[in-house]
Amino acid sequence: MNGAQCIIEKLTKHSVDTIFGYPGGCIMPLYDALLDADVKHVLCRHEQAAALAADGYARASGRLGVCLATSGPGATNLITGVANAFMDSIPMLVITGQVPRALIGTDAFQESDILGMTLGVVKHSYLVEDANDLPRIMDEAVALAMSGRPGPVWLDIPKDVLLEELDSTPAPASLATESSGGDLTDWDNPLGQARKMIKAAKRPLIYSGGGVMLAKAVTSYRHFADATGIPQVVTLKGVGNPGKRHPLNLGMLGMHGSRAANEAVEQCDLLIVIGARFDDRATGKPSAFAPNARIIHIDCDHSEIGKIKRADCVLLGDMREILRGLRQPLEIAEWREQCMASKSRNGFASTSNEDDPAPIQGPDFIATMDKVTPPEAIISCDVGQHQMWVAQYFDFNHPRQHLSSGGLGTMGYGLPAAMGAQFAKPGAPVINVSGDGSFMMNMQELATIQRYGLPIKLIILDNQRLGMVRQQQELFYAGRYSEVDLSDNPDFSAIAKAFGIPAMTISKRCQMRRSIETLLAYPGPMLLHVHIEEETNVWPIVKPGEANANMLENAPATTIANQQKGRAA
Amino acid sequence: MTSPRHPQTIFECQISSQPGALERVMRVVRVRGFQVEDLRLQRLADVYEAQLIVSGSRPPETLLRQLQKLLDVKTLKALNQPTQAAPPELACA
Repeated sequence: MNGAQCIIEKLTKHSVDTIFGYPGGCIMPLYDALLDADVKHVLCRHEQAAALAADGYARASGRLGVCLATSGPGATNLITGVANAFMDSIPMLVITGQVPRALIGTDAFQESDILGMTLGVVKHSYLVEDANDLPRIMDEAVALAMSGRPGPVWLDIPKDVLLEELDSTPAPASLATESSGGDLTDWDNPLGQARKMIKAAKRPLIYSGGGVMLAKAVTSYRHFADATGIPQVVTLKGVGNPGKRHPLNLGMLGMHGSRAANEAVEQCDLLIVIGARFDDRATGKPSAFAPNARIIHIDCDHSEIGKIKRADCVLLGDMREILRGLRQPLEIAEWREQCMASKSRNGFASTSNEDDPAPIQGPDFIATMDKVTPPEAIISCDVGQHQMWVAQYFDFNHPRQHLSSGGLGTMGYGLPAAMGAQFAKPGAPVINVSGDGSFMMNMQELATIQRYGLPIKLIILDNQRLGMVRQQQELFYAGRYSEVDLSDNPDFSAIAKAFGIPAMTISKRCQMRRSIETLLAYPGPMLLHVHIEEETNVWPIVKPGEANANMLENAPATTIANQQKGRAA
Repeated sequence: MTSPRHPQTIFECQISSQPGALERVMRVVRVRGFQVEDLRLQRLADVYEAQLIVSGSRPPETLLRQLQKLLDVKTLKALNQPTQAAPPELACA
């Protein structure tokens, strides 16, 4: 058995049945071994898309995402996708070919120092120098990627190591895993302290993030939230934690959070942070975040504790066990009612009239989608205004149904992530919502969708702008628009048709519901090109670095005056 | 060596001799906002024994925890008590 065959054997042993990649010179021995394997390889059309597809696969399923590429440009193209997984703690195994050992350091053809280049975007990485190390490294890499706080682990393997025969008796495996963060007996006292803090609070609030899903603790989370009846706010990655139509879900907090959510954070006297990390998009100015609250921080990663905000009580370890230990009924009816009243006044709600022939606004389209789409649907999105509208106006049943690039904010994420999700969940409806800017960053993957007959529904909200950048230039750069005009976009319907994918185009509100129903009813892939009003902004917005209390819900008068001046000129 | 403006923390650690291990440690020190003031190390079998002195304005316990997460860091302890500092007011993008 050579190194390449050993990798295949280990992938099979770890129940990996689908991998995403692109072949090339130094990884060819592995592609040769794939011909005799039971592992399905999905040929993407760009390595970045292969990594993002592996991310979508992992995010939708909770399983390990695997991607592979050759040395040099193949490996460098993977980096954005791997960084995306790293920032959102997605379990991923990355395998790249490297030039043969004797050529490393000679500036050989397609040589790059991928180990050095990727140190900052991996949980761990290996340059494999001996094929006999591969059995141990493969086991260790899979365990590391999946355990503790998950993340990508990168194996860079010289071509001659892939071809090298292993000794007949491989070295015994010694598994390295990341512990889940704490010994259960350690938190007996903090747990009791946390229970008392929760019991004593008059205005407790849950602030939950992507860590809930990563800890496989969604059910425990909901039991805790329902047993206590504590109102909830969620991060972008925590969207879906409370479950669909939960009356105490005040929605997303932060820069584009609801007024109801941000005000609840402002007013609460106890903030229970569950699998969240005080990201700047969530907190705004940290010193002004939750100014009246004591903080309980629940996580598995001790390096997140006290990184941005000091916690009064820390619970490290298995989130499911911790949340089980914190359940208790609370007498906070007045606070609940206050939060629900605030939600009805200041939550996200669309008032769109679907019979109106007026131009479509992005939020109205997403709100209509929410009404029409089956509850088991998986929605991926790209990055920008449409991404925020999806988080604001689509009510998700489970966080694994919301595929969004949170930490890195990777334009071009949605389409490949949708592919990965469709491979992971072949029976689920998968919809990708893109903006016109993001869509063009990975639209070569229409070929992959067509090749594998993936029935993904593709929606482009087209405002002929880089909308989020335009919005910030309008509000924070005195309306000086710099390189945000995309009015020369290609004909997206014609592009889809060139790949053999049927397409529709709409531009009026009264067309929204029927077009979404048509899209969902179509058995194969289909694209819906939606012309939306060009200057609709995402509201509310908090200026980067400002306190969340200073959210804007309309353009300030000075900005409007600047705009009018610009038009008059 | 210029005199440091911030409190110093002394770490004693064992670091794997695997490819990239030292770079990995140095990268975390830099990215998390600390400066290396002194580094002494010696290779013993498959590990480096190292004494690392860093300075920085952020709480050193956060660096300690970040370094402890690295698989290549086999043992790590702070020889002096890291200063308890409040989390910094970070600039936002």
